[in-house]
Amino acid sequence: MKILIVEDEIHIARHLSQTICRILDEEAVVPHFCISLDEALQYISKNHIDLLMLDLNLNGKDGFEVLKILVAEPFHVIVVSAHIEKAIEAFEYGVLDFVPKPFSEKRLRKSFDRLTGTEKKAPSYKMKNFVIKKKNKLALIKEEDVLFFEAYGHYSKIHLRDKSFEVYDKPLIALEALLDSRFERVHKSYLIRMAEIKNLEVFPGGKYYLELSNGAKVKLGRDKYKYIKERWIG
Amino acid sequence: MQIIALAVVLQLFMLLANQVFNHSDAISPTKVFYKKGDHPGWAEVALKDDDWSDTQPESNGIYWIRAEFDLSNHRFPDRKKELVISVLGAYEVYFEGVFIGKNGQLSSNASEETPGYLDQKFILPEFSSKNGKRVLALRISNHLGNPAKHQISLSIDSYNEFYKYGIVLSLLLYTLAGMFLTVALYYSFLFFVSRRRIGYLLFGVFCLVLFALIIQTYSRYYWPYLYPQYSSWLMISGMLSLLAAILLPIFIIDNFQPPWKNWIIAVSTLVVVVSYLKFSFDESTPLFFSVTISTFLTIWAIFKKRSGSWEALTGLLIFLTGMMYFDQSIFVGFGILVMANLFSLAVIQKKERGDYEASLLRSSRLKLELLKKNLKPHFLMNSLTNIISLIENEPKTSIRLIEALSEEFYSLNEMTDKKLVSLHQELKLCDSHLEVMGIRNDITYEFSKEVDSMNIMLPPATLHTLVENGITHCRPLDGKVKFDLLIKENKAITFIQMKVKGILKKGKAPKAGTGISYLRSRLEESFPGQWKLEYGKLDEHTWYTNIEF
Repeated sequence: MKILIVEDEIHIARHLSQTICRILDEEAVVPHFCISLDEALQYISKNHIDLLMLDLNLNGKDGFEVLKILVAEPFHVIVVSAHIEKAIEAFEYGVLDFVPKPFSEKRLRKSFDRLTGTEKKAPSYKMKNFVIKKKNKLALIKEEDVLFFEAYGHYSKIHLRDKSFEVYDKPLIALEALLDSRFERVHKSYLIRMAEIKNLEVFPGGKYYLELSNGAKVKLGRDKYKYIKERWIG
Repeated sequence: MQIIALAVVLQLFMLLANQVFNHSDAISPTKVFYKKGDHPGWAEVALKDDDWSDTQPESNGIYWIRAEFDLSNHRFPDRKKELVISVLGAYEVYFEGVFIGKNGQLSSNASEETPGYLDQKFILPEFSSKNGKRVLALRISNHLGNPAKHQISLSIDSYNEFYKYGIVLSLLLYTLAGMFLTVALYYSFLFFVSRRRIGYLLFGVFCLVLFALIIQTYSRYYWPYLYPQYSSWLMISGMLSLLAAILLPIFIIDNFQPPWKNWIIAVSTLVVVVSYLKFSFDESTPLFFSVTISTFLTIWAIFKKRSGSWEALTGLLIFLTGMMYFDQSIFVGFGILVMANLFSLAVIQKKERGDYEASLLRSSRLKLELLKKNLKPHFLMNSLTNIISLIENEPKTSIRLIEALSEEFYSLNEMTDKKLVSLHQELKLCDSHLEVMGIRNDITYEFSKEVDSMNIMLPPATLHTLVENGITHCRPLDGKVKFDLLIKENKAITFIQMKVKGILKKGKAPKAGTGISYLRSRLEESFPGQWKLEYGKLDEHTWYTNIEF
């Protein structure tokens, strides 16, 4: 896993990378260090990474402007910062986790569990906006406008209430890690807002469809049918 | 807006007061003649007085006054009447050639004269109170007074009207005097008990003088005095008016604090005193100058947007209008002036209170800011994270970091409650901070000091803030960031220069951030209005900050 660590203090950067190595298999980790955001942005534009560990509020540059750029990228962002008062806002923009400094191995392990999907996010850390790249500009999509997500190669489509959609740079599996429990994977290609299900349609040959509040129809995986029916429709 | 309304209302009150006080029953003589010398026949009604003088004799001795009254147009022809005389001397009164009374005992030589009262009244006999022309003759000796100083006053009035009028007038004006006394006491207490602000005392004394002036002026109606005391009486009232005239501009100056205030005080006092002496001890001239000077000062204060200046101007202008009459209304004018100044003082007090509270607030905010400086998570938590990392990898360095960190906290803790700290303390704080940041950032920070004297006191964390800024904004040049501190002490001025040598991050000059605004607030708190702070680039790699106080 290629991890970029953005941290201006070398002892902390070293300690962070050591801790990550202990959590994940040491050889699977390929860390790279940047001491400033500018450097990091440059590195990202030329290299593929899987995860960004970011010390927010570096050098006083408006952290959230940079954060918006970063969360629109395909990789996940974990903020490691002493500015815990910024945590909620960071979550709203769609960071995977916010780890306060000083961090423990135990706390970091939780972040990585979230990354692999073994741990679901608590609904209190709601995402408010999806930052998408649109014609080289950043645009914000409000979370409450979103009905469901659809896999779209390495990307995903964000389907909105008005039946339009936007393309998001992260794959569906990455998205799943960002969302809280109000969203569920109902099919290998679909992640939906469960509260918006209007109807369950069953077609011959074991085909299931979920009709959503705006009339859109979404496939329901055969393996998920029983669980979804019991949990959400009854 | 309210001020204009207040001015209009007060002005109307003045006019009304003037109308009420205008005593119109009394009638004055149609002609008055004087003659030095003495002759029993001069009391005769039919005497030809063509060769008599119409100016008052200005020497001592015996002289006569003859006056003619026209009673035909008196408002109340049927009422019993009395004669009211105010003359310096002992005299005998003849009305229509008939002796009707005397005041004191006149005599041709000073030792035998018994002085009369300055104000005296005589009931006119019934038979002579019919309408028409009447002749009054006074035979006077004035060995014990200075006749030049007093204007003779003769009038015929309805019976007891003079004293009734006097008592009513005194009553009204003593109410005003009571107000002056209360204000005088209040401001004197304010001066002695709370803050010893000279302005309070000046205002208190000003009001006390006005109080005394009213008491004295109207005491003549119930406390008659003998005519030789007239000059001392005049002296007292002159001195009191002069004092009021001197105090008013000083009070205004103290209130609005113009530049060269001592000079202005000297000039205004001089003008007032000279005008008093020049215009033969007339009370109104110095007051006129005094109020004019005060008005100009207040207009200046309005231009400078001083609080309370509009209120003061309103009072002064109304007072100036009242001066035109120069009688009872001058005291009403004084009353309005004092009220306006009270209002103005109240406005100023409110502002001062606000400023004071703001300064308290600023002090506690600064204290908090100082505390937060090192307790803020960015510093504290990052330092702790460093310690954790170092314990694992370089235990010895971690101990150094913990030691430096505790030293920094101790230094800061010592400073928290202080407005000024010694240079020694401040440098200790900087050294420990540089040690902490040096370990954390793995950068060599050099700190050279060129200091004139270690006795300098400066606001807490002044240099610390500059060092902190340097650390945030500079990367090492040739492996290090250099701090050069220069402190010069020259008489009353302390000059501090901090130069930082390194690579400025982002290549540009840092903007004024929280650190600089903290410094500005601290400097303003400790050296209000007497400090300078500037910063800028000396060359590509040197950033400087200069502080002067």
